[in-house]
Amino acid sequence: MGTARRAPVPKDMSCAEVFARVQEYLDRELNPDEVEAVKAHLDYCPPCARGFVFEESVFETVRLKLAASACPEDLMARLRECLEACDES
Amino acid sequence: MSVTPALDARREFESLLEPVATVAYRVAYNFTRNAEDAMDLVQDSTVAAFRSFDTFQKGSNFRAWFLRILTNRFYKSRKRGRVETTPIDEAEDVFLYRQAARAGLLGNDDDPARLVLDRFDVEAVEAALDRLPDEFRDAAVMYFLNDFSYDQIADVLGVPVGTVRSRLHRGRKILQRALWDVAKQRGLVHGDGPEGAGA
Repeated sequence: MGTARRAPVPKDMSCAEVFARVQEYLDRELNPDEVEAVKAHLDYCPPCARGFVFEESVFETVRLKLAASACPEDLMARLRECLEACDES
Repeated sequence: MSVTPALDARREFESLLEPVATVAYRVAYNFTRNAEDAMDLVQDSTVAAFRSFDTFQKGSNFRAWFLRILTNRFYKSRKRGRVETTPIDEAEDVFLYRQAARAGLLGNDDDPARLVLDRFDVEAVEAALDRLPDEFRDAAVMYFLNDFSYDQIADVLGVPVGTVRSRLHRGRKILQRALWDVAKQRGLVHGDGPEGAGA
């Protein structure tokens, strides 16, 4: 299923069709026709526009939370030791 | 003061490594799910990267180059901690948005998602990520932490870009359901929409 081609772009997308493309839209992975079709829908559909903003914020927050996870304080010191040992060998 | 070429190269390497060491550890930790294995992977990748430092194109993206080495080494060693996971269904599109709306969490805030996600600490997000099956989880780690493009992920995993697109699409939907489940289990949110969160 992973390699399946995407369906053609409907001219007037439904809310469901727009939501199905939200992630690729935010990742700038849609083709120009799809981007235009999504934008056209968002321009006249405030609930979908709010959903897109929400979705973008969800994954940005996930990214920020994961980037703040615990890390050993002496990480760089330990890596320097590895490099020194590497140099000497 | 004389500096040998070898010492010079090591200093240059260290100066490039220092800003990316922390993210490298976090990527390694999310791959291996174990602090000791994560440290081993970062150290091993550091030595491997230094030994091939002459292949690094100066001025190009060291972070991407190093994380690519780390990711490839992880895939070669496949040292992954096992986490007991309960199979979890893929959610509908924009699942969290719908659930938050049903639970009355959206309000009039400018950034309602942050309002919802602020209820999660780092551990809760990691716990949700842990619930993804490996193939989806790996793509998600590379996407969220490595900041890799779909093409870069496809290259490292050795799969077509369409497969990466599909895994990320499905993985992020599963992640949304997992986040909601974790939030409910931890009492971070109350209320449930008609979809429920259980599989």
